[in-house]
Amino acid sequence: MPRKNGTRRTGALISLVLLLCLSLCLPSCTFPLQKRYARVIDGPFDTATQLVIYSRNESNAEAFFDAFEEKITAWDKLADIYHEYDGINNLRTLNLSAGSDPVALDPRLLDLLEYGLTKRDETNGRVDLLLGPVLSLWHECRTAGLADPDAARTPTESELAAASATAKRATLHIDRAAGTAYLPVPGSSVDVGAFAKGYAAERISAELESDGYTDFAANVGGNLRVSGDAAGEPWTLSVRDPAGGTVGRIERSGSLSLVTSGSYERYYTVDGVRYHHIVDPDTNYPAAFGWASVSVLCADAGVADVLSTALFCLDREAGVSLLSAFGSSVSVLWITESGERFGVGAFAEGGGS
Amino acid sequence: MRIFSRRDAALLLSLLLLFGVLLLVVFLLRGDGSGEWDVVIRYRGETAARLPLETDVEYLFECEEGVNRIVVRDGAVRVESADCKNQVCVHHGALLPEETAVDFISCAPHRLLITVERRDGK
Repeated sequence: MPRKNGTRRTGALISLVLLLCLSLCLPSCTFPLQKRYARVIDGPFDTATQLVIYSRNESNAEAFFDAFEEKITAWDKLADIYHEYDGINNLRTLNLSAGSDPVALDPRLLDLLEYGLTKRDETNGRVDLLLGPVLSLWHECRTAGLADPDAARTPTESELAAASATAKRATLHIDRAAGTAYLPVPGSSVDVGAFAKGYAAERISAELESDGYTDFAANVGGNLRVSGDAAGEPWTLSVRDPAGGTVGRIERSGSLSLVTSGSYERYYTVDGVRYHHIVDPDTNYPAAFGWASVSVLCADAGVADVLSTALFCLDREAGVSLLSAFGSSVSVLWITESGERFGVGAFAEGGGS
Repeated sequence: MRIFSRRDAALLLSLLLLFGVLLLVVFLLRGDGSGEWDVVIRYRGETAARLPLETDVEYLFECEEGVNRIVVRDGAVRVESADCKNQVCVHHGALLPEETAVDFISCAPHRLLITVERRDGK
């Protein structure tokens, strides 16, 4: 039966070649049509936001960028404590109404305020949204000092004492049924600068994931939130070394965030002494635990933002103790002003090189 | 004994050729050939310059806030020097074309932003 044998052999040969082709092709063909698209948004949260998405078509990428930009611009206006916008009650509206009347706020803003109150408790007050009076004093001095370095000054002790006393008496009442928030103490104010950017990035990313978008990354002023992967490859999340370059390099897929709080970007100088922007609620002065930066890697960008600030205002031992309440999936890299590195979780080896 | 007949060999060659053509089509559709990255320099949110990353160049960026000396060399970009207050842009180090990273060099005092972007990725 030579003919039958020949047919079998030909069939086996075709099968073998097809199998070989498929096995060679599959790894590179899993995401054959995904292309990298990018957009930079300048402005929201007083910083730049870089968006990247891997998509099979440009219109999908553009729709993602438009949605992200619209959402982060809205969040920026809502959380703004320095500017007013037509037709919007924001945190500036709330602060200006302290001691007078409750203010009707967007439900998203009420969520943010409730989140801030919760995180205030969870961090034992290290991240305190009611520290507004103290933070605004430092903000005014820093802004004036950068504009006119010769006239730069720090807030006086009496100014800080008065602001701190107001902050300590401050309470925030949220009425979900009425859709309002209220600061009963005159002169009190909220400041969500320690976590609003991360919270907004997390909510926006989660909403867009629910809408079906995946395989994207958002770098909001240095704070990263990634989703899915980069055309089949894990995303690279790097920790910026305050001394230059990067010291940590993590490769992960899925929903993940890396946020850094550092003393090296936003500061001003008075009589040769640097004063950075992260204020210790115990001393009312810039936190002085020797950290140049604290980076937090975890699944939630809001939590990462809160924790990076809270840990910047604690020594290492107290920081590790605080971390235990946030579960084992949080990784942290501390970098001291002298360049020493300490890490837990994915950064346990000190952040790599 | 012959393992392949002439007909088998012709079939094998045809299949390999077809496979090669398919691979070429997939590669072209992916559109991710190497070396197609640009350095994009933005000032106050607007694109001020777009430089091919494969061409070494020294670019002096001057604005009313100050000056940044931007160097494109060996497929990477860095701010070599600047007269800004915090020098964060200089300390940032080199920015490389990485498919899996999302990073930028920012000089906030000069309102300058530097990214490395795919030439065909908008």
